[in-house]
Amino acid sequence: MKEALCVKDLCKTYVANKRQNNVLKNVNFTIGQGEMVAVMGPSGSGKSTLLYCVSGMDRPTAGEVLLDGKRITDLKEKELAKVRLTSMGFIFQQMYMLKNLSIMDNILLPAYQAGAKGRARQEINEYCLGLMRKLGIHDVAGHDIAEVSGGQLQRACICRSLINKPKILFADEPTGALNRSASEDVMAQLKKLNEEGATIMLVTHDMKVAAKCSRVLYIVDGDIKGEFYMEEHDGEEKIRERSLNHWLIEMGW
Amino acid sequence: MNVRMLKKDLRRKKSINLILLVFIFLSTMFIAGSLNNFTVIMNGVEHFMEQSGIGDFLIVTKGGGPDELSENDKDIEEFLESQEQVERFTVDEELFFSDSQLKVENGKKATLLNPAMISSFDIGQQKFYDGENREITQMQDGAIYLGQRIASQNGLEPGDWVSICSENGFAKKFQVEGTLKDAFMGSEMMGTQRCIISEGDFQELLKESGLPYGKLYSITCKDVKTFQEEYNHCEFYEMFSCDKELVRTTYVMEMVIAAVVLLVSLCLIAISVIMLRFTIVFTVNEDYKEIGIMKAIGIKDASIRRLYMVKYFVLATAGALCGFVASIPFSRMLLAQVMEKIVIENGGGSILFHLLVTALVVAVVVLFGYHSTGKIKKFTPMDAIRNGNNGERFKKKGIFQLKGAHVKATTFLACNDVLSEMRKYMVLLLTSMLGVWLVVMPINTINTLNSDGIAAWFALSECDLYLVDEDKVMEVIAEGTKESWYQYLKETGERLEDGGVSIKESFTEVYFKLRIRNGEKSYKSFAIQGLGVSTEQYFYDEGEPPFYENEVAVTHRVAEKIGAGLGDTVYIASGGQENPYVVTAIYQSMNNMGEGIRFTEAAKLDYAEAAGGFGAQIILEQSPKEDELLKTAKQIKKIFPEAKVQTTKEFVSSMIGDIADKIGPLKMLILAVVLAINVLVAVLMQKMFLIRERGEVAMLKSIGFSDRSLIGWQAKRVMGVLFLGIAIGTLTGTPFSEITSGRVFQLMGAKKIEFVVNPLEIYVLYPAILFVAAVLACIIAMRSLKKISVQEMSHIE
Repeated sequence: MKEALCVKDLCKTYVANKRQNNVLKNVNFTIGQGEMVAVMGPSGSGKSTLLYCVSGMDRPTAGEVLLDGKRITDLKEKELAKVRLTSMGFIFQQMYMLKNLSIMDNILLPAYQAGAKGRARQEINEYCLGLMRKLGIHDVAGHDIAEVSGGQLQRACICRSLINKPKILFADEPTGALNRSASEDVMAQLKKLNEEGATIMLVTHDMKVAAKCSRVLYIVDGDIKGEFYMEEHDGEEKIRERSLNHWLIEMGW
Repeated sequence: MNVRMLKKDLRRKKSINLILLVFIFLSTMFIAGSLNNFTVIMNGVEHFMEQSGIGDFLIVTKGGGPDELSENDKDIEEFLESQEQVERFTVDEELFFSDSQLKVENGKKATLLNPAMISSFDIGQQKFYDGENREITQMQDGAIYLGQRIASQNGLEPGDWVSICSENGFAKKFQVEGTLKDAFMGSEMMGTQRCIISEGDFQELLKESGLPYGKLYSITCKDVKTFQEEYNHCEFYEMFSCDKELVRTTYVMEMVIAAVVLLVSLCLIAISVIMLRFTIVFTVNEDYKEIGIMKAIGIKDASIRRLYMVKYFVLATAGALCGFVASIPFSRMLLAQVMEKIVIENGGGSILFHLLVTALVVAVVVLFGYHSTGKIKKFTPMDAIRNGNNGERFKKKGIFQLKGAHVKATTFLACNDVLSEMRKYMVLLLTSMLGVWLVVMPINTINTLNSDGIAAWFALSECDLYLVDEDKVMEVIAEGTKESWYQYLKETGERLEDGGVSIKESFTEVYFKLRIRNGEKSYKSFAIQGLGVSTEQYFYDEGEPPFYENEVAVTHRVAEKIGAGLGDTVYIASGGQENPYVVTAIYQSMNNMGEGIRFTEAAKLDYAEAAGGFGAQIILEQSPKEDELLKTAKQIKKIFPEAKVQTTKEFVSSMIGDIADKIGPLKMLILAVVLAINVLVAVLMQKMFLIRERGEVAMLKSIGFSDRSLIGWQAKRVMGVLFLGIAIGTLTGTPFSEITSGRVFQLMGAKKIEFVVNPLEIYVLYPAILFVAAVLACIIAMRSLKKISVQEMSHIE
């Protein structure tokens, strides 16, 4: 399987009140194209920091990240912004959107910023509507962000993350702010996207969410302590969840 | 606990608290400074006149001598004693001198526009003040205080020496002690200036100099109008007479400056109040999250509110005290030009007044804070959790749709933000608009005063050059005949031809102070007879130019005073008898505060009553360009070394006390103040926007917007608002000038004002300077968005 993301010896250190805090310690892993990988771990273990460093939103202290074989850790801020705009998609726990724009305009914004002009804009508009239809929110396209439910808003965030056809999707607790049914709905959509070929790396606390992924990385104190491959435990959803649960307990969850 | 929370709040929200502090500081400085100016200016001239003890009606006569009372003066004194309306009056002795009789240090002749007066410092008519606003209560022999204009025109400073000389060989040296604040004769519009010396020196001058002698009557009346009516029916010979009201009006040029300062002050107050309210509402809204959390953990509304009130009180007191300190020099800076001529109460700055305004600002901030924190009751713990959104807002915010837009995403965002939240940008829009007004108004006034058409406003006939020889004019007046004026013109023409200057024609205007009557209503007005010039050469607002010898044109003001209109027969007294004249035209003039009667050349007037003349007005053979005109002026100056040679613009400018030159530096000061304010307001607003929008900025960064494109988005937004504000200000600036400065010109006697607008300056240069300065400052402020990290997304509303 071709590598979509390769992380080598990644370190992140914060200094607060003259005290050094090593949040990530020589983290190494790879994600293949079309994989859906979950990162789990206790609070404060460095999950989100890992996601932000890997996605170029935060600068690691040491180590390197290769996206599609291209080293992104040395890129300048401007080049990193371009990589984030064109090659990566992001979904956050909170549904961050611009309040002065409609749902559809919020989704279209990264595409227009990426330079879509003239006919390309027509095509993007069509593509956007297609995405919204696929995620079941096309009927709220013109709505204000305060007029839709949390689940609909998160699905809109997924659409926005996909609008520039990214090479990889990063999700930080994508269902953390949703109720059970909305959460299942969103995960089903992400799973469907993965089955269609999207590479996804997500951070979660929720075992049910992690159980939908092909692999789970378990991080403790800034270091990956273990990996769990779901294919080896294929079967019904409940069986997958149970085997993951056993593994997590073994890891000290 | 509260103190600890307060300390932490002040430290943690450093930026927003600092911005609030700066706005409170600026508001206090502007409001205290401006309100003080407002009161000082509104009462300034009145206070100066009251403090000087100026009478209700003043008469200046010429003639007689120290030992013999002239018949005219005898008649005046008898009249005053007999009048019921007169409560008391004072009589003071004066001497007159022209520029040939005043020599500066190196023996050079001084420059005087009109004959000046000299008297003892100790006269009954009024008190005098020095440059430091101290009453002059004693003077050493050999010292002299000069009128402001005499000192400035001749570049005389304290310590310089001047001499008063006369034809009989008398000469006395005086050392300049300083300049004089003279309520009666100190204004720019008052032709005659005054100097004062010690009583001993004045007695010496009276006895030995042989300078022309005169008297100054200062009358306190029960009812000045009734007295004036009686006085106007009498035929006294006088240099001039006027009531206190007219003296007050002669300060109109000082009032132009004062009006400019006043308008600047009013605009600053408006800006301060707008930005103060905005900042407080903004900071309270910033705190909603914490308020929600405090409510969630069970703190009572009243306790939360008290906490915020303490914070606003501390910030308001600190900011207002700093503003109070800064408001005193700020106020003095704005008043400096106005204080040059008049004595201002408490030197222009009452500490108590500034303190009161400071306390008021603290109270206003606390009240605004109290009102704004009233929302605390409405905030719920849900607001904290949902960042102020309760999920029940169904009002559509966006106006446009990105999907239909043909512009860059950042351009769309900028336009959409401004149009969706106009109120948020209103402060920036209003301040930039007011800023343009503040710049446009003085510039339009200066350009109008400097324009070629200004001669028409002063009811002057167009000519190329004015040849003003005060001594010669005095000589011709003394001869007392019309023929001597023609002779003067003839000799002038011949001297010019001999000197190689070809002239097409030369003419002069002789002025009188004559009584005009329509029925029972009479008035003593400035009157003019042009010699060598047709009445058709002048502008009239209504009617036809007077043609026959029994026809006259009168100004709007004179027509109003005597209730006359076109076609009416009025009676004008000259040479001891009243003659009927038909009013054929009405005209406007800013000369002599709008007073004027224009006779035809054929009208028979008694030239023994002539009060003055403009000298020779020359029209050259070929209409020269400006540089050639100045060359010819130099050539004429060589032919007439004793005279002043002026272009029309220079002549009018000297008549109104070079006001345009005086507003010039004020224009630069205002431009600097307005630029500083606009830049400061724009930068502070931009900083506030960044604090509030750091969540949005972080989110846009996370989805791939570069810093450059984010700065582009913010810059386009600010540019749009500033452009709109400046454009509205530019378009409305000229009508605003007409309403404000135009009023001052109307006070001077003008009826219809058309402002001269220099399109390049008004529509391009100054708006562009304001725009570029504010935008550049904002862009520099926007660079701090580079420091916003993606993790700050949680601040998104």
